[in-house]
Amino acid sequence: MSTPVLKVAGKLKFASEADAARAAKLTPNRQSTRAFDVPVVVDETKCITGCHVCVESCPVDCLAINPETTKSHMKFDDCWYCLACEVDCPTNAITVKIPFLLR
Amino acid sequence: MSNATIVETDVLIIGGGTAGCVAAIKAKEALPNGRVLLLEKANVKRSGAIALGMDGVNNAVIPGHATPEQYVKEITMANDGIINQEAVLAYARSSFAMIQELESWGVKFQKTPGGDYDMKKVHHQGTYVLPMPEGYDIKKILTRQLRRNGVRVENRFMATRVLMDEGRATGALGFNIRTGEFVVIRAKAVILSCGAAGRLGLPASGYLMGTYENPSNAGDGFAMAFHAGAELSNLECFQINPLLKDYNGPACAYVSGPYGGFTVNACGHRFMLSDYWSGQMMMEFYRELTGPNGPVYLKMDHLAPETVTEIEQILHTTERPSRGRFHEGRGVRYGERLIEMAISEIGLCSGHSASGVRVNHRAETSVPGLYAAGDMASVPHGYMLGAFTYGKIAAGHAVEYGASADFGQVDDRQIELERARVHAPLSRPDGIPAHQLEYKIRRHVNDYLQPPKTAFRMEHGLNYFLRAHEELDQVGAREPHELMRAMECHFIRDCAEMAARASLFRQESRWGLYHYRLDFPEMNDADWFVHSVLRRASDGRVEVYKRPVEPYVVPLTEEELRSYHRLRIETSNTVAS
Repeated sequence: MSTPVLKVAGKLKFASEADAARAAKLTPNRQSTRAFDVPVVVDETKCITGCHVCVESCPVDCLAINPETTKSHMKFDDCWYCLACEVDCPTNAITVKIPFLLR
Repeated sequence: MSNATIVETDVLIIGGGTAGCVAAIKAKEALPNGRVLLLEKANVKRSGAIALGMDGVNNAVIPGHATPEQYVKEITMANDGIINQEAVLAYARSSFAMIQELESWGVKFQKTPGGDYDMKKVHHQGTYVLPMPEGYDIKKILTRQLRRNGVRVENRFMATRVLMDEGRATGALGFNIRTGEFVVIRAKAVILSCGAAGRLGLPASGYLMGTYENPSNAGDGFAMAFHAGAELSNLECFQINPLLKDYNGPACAYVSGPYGGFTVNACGHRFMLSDYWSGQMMMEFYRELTGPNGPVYLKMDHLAPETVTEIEQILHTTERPSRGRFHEGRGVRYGERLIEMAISEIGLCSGHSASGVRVNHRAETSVPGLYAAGDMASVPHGYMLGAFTYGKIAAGHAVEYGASADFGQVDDRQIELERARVHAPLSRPDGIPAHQLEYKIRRHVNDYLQPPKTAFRMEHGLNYFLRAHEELDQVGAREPHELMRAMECHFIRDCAEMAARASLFRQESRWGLYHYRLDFPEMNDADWFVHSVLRRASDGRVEVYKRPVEPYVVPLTEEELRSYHRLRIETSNTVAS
């Protein structure tokens, strides 16, 4: 039976900083799956399957067609709130919100 | 021979924004049977600084309202004399013809009932602002013109390096940002028109993409020219703009000014004579913003409701149309209260200041076969019309050069090294996310390069930017979109290093806030009435040196040269009791 490691505040659980750095490097990156407030909102009842005008309009290429729904969605959190997608959408399916940090 | 996709063209234009679209149209007009290829990272219909249009021309030299010589004088004053007048004069002389050509393509400028151009005075001295209230569709007009002329447009391709053969530009290397496909483009002449380095500083909101410039403009052109060995000049003359706080878009005093709007301090007092964006104006703005009477506001609450509605109609439909939505969300109305302003993050952009790839009046860089136009070329204060006009100038000379040039030899080694560099992040899908490194680099830009500047601080910044090379080697990408962001990090790092080195080199203060050094607070014409020039030497070292200012073609008196130093209205300098 191994003796439980006693954690002391301020004392490293690694033998050296080099060991700590090595362990940190080997630890996989963790991804959060929590949904968050994104600027581009698509009304899927209005969005036309097969149309990708908004995807082509976006200057930062943050929109894409979601293969599961065949509708447009904001895939990357890069929005410049420029309204190109909203202005160019033929069915007014898109609303661009000001990004939360600026609101 | 490399097995990469290889495309051949007579003239290659990299960047389909303001300058690039006109360059491609004019090159194709000159070469109806030749090949002209326009490469664009986004889609030309909505790309570049004027993706959502523009509300006016800031620097129109219209006969009867101003002369080219008057304009050259004004821009010489606004640049504290450090200027290639011949290059600015070339713009001023050709810009009216450009306006007429744009009109023939369907662009509408504001006219008086009598049919004359409805010119407005915004500059300190002359009258150069021409509104275009219906300017929201300008990119669509340009796209139509590209199609009519038969220009080959390749959207969603990002160039990463200029292809070189014995010191001469012979094309470009890059990749498709949606498939990751690596491409080699061979060309007889190359025009760089990639816009500003707009993702250099971090906006005060902390939102990475909340930049003043279109965030696609990550400094690609500055970095590609640097790696091609081209000279870049006056990079320490940063772009800093007065903007709507948090929204970080223009307010815009050029639109509201002619209607009676102006900039005031917290006491409601006017404190500067001219709202034209210059380094000296920004210095007064910064002093007021950070002084006892800060912050600074745009005042429109004294205007008639019909006037406010008219201003809103322009501001909420063109350039940054989400402005209205931003104000609405906070319950702010132009006619009811003062609108809070702040200053932008720093950037490199000749369109607003003077930093850029060094070009002459023929848009030639110091590298044979390589041309530059728009916000990334060194002709100062060009704005939109400067980009259009220099796009046209660059096209003319690039076509002429290409007529007697060949494709050169393809250097397989350069191609393979670049392919490996570009695809490396894809081999590390669990590597550092690009946005994290981008945040870190840009946060260091704010911490160490933002004026007021000091040598000690900037040395710290430079040390980090050099260390960031190792961090770039750990950035990972899971798909082509992330690869684009990863490669942009390289450009942002390059621009940060260049901005630091150029700012350390010029040991004086000049251009108001743009290069305000606390350790050298005075302007020193005896030692520093020169261009600072930066380039990458063939051994990879970065050189910074002086180049004399080209002889003036429009002479100015000492008195005239200093006129932009007298922008402050002193009587307003009172603390509220």
